[in-house]
Amino acid sequence: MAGEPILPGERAASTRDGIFGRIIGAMNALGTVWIIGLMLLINADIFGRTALNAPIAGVAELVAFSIVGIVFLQLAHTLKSGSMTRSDVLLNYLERRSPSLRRALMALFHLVGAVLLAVIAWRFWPSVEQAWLHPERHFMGNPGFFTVPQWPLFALMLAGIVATSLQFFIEAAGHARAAASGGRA
Amino acid sequence: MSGIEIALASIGAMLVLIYAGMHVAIALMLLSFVGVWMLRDNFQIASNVMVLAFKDSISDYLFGVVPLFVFMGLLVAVAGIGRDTFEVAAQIFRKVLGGLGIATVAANAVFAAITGISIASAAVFTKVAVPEMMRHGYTGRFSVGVVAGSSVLGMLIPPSLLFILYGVLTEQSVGSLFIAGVIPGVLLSVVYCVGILLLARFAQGFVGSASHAVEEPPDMSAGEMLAKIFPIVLLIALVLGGIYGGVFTPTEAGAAGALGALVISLAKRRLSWASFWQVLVQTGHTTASICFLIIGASLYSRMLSMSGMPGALGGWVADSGLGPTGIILLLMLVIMLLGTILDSASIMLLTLPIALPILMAAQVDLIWLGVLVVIAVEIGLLTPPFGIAVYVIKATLGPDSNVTLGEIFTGAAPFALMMLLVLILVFLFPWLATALV
Repeated sequence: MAGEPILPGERAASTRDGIFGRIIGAMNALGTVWIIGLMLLINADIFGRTALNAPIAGVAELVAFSIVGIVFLQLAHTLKSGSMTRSDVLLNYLERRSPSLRRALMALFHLVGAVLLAVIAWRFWPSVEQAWLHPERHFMGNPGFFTVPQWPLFALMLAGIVATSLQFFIEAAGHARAAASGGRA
Repeated sequence: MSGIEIALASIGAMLVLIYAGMHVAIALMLLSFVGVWMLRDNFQIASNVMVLAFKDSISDYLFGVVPLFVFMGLLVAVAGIGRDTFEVAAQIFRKVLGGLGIATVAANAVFAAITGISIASAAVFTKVAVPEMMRHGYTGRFSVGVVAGSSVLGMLIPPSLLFILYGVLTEQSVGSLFIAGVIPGVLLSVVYCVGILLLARFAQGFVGSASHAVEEPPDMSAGEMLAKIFPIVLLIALVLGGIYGGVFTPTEAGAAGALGALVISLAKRRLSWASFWQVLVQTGHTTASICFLIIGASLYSRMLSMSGMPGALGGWVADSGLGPTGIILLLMLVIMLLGTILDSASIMLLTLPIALPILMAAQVDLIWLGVLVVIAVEIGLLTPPFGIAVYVIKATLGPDSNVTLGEIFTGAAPFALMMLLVLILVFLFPWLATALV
């Protein structure tokens, strides 16, 4: 769907993952397990509602909550694995003509991503703080029927945004180094 | 700069940045941020609009099912359900001229009824059908062309991830969209089969000569064939029966189908822990990538509406005397052009927010439009330089294959033309899409 081959292997994970690499790996794994949970939740609701006449309260909210959680937990790792959509028409052309220009361009693009997400993290922080301090005002669902507080989700989102910003920065630095050394490496 | 000038400049800048290779979602966010900043001359507002889009664009039940549709598609791919379907179809069409080509189309049409993503079909049938066709004397480019062409059926025949996306963007019923895709999907399969027959008869150099000297596996008995297609029939019954029997909604079908596919692959003992985990991780990456794009596109359409461009564009179109027909033709053209550099979801997310207000004002049938958009978008999967189905096929063939990217594009070209024919037919005869709805 989004620029990612299905069964042929993705870009191999770096063999020497640092602590940060392991953290986003763990976040990715958590999001992955969450997908199974999501599947089971919806099926339990279908089953409960049709067979037992007992729908699960708040499934709609939980699903909306889950998808946001899953996406932000996996975003940094998605970037790292090279699955984030972009067009490589020009970049492939440059690879043959001027590898160092290609690297410089990649460094610039990743730097833009890093800065943009850093701005979002910075401006998002007050929302996280408010949701944590006033859970009674920041929730999803209908009071009296089913509610789930927003702060855990906002915290996950913030973690995901920060991690993705850092990953963008790491990639930018890597490309910049390669550009400086003539596009090889 | 006026709001409209800012919007137009941002569209130009977007095309340049995307072509240059910036991540599509980042390009959209950057231009929306800068656009709002220029429109309101206020950094606070610009960043708040951006934060708001992060908070609310994907927090919806409908997006929650995206990973489940992807998961179901990948699961049936690794569980060998596509291979079984192809083997049965190959035996049925063995005696026909171009039979294996037709078998690939037929198996894909059936497979499409349980997957909602084209690239899953492309990957599976590259592994299964291409070696078999080449062994029988078909040329490499024709073999991969058939696979590339018929893989787009995955998006047209329900369930389909693109219809879900379209339904979300246009607030149309996903169930109606699914039904609307049935006749065009079947029509496209038939056009492919006729096309393959004609190619096999009149363009032998392109197709290759099917040699009959190849040793055939012994015929399967009817019982064996039934056993092979039983799982897929079961899944189709579960997914489509559940939707139209009212047990679950089309959006829930992804969850039910994914669970069904998981149970079947476990029962067939075709799922190792390693491949199960790999499928899950890829599901997550595809989902994160699509949803991040959706956030960007949602932000971008907010910026555009703040600029006042949709209204101005609507006025301009009304004055130009283009009429709804002209607008739709223009939209199809733009979509197919974008298809040469972008993937399906991005194209829909980019074009629909701009085109939709105008088309709604012109009272165009949005269900019919959905079918047109999906076919047009899928033509882009087959066209160079960024035909994503083609790249998936190339990657699946592996480095040892001597089929080049150019040959895959050449092989897919007749099928892209046949899709164009079906697109024109649906455009001329809207009932093809709306008859069952």
